[in-house]
Amino acid sequence: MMHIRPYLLLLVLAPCLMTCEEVFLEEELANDARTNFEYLWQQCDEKYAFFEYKNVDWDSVYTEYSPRVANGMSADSLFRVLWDMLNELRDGHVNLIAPFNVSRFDVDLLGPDNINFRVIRENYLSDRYYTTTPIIHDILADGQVGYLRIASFGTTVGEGDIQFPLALYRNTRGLILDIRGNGGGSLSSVFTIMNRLAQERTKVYDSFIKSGPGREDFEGPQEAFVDPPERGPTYVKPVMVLTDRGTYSAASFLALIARELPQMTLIGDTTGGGLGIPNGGQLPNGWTYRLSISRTISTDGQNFENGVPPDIRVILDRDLTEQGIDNVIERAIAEIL
Amino acid sequence: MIRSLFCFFVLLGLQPALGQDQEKPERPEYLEVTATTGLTSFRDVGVSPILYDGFLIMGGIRYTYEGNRWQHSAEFDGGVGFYEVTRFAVYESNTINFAYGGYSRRQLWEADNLNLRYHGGVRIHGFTNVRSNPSLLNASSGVESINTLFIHNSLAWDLRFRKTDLSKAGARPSRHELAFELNLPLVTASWLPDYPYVTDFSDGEPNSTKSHEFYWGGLRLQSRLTYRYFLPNGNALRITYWWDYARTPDGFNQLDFINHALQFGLVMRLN
Repeated sequence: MMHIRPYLLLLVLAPCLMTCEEVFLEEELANDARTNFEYLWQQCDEKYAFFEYKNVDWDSVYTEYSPRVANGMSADSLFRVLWDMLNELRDGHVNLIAPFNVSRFDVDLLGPDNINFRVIRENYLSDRYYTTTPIIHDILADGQVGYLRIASFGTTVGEGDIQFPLALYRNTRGLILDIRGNGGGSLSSVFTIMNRLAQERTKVYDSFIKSGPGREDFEGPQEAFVDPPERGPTYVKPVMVLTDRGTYSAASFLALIARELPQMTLIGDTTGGGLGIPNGGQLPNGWTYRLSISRTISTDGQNFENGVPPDIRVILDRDLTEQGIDNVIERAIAEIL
Repeated sequence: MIRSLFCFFVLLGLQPALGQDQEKPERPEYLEVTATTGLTSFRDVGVSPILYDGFLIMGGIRYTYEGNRWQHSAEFDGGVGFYEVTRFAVYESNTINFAYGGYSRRQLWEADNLNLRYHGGVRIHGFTNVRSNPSLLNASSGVESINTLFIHNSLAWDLRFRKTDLSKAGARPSRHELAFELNLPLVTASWLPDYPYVTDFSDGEPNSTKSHEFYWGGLRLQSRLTYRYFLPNGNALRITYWWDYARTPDGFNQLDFINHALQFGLVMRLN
């Protein structure tokens, strides 16, 4: 019995000795203002995709903003400093999210408001316009033009959502696809729509994504195509895509794809851009952030991160809107007819 | 529910083990139903420097063969985990977990007078987590898998006392077994997101594992302390305290997992 005790002790103590994971676990980062600033700056440095394109000297940004950070400063003050630092990137896909605030870069304010939906509702849409969520649509110009308004890609556009209006307006002479003020959302929704507006399989752009911490570490290209489906309605007559500075992210991708399709014309203002994929991450203090981690290059080698320009530039005329006229829509109708 | 559990336990105790005397188990085979609950922590450096804490609930099955020299086992588990961290606000992460494992070991030493047996061999254990953390925006979902081949060591102590026993005088001594298992890593393969963490879905085809790669190395340690109580019919009840620490290779996508779990097994002898 005396011989048993050492083994008994071993059997009892051994698991205790092996539960000391603190020996192997690296210490958590300190949760102070300085550490959070350094961490965010470092994440941007290693993951942001547009320093060269936007001519941003990120090292100089560190030099400028570091003195503004001090341990013990309030959360709101730290948030303001980090917000100002991130806005040096001038990117609507770069945000810092705290429980009490969300930072932003107002891309839509880079240009004039180019849509007044009240004017459209009162003067262009009938009382019984269709809502095939998220698409609002109706017939214009004495049945000659179909009008599709998509205010956001935040709600996914399903196959049925686009097939219904395309079938409904199959006998029109053209379509207007109004994505003014569309801040983006699901990119798969864009392909759901544009696949049915393509005449044939068409390459639309290349994408390069960050592959390492170096500022020019990218992998790719990943090619993107639109491909008409074998079943269901398609539409290959003229399509006028209406854009403005509020056309951002996934909606900007739609505009970029439209450049590649011969029957599509961009009318309005330059889009807001936002052709980089945003990631997600968290600071030591729990605040979350996102950064653009990829680049999208058109088939002719251009980078439209700052906005896809229209083929026909038309800015909403305030005087005409007071008369109930949306001159951007009118130009689109004229192009079709 | 309670009634069903009660009936199950009664059946476990009454069900005869087919044709074998409990005193002389010749190559017994067991099938177990297991339930595991534990305190778990993880840190995914690819998206957050913060250690999330929470708990895990899993259910599973296990098969065990115990020969005179060789023993083998296979197990499968599935469950869910709930984690959170509080920094200004509460940030939550949830997981769906799958695990598999097993060992093959040989008795290498025994001390009859001390009722001790040492088995050595190999153990394999792997787990796959599908994680969701909505606060991380486009990085809100993650998948990772960590798989390790271990050098397996087990020291078991048969607590069946011949002279002094908790059972009544004259009754056949009940069989208890206490075993400590220490698993040391040989090879670890982790399947993790590559550098961007978020896959390039700009082609309109979201695929959360498109950029996953295999990474070799890291650190993985496991220990288990198991108590088995054998019923007269050869079935058994098992409780195991299980500690598992995993760390993938240093780098941009380093993961840390720490698991302190209790596993309960209803062991049914098959032969």
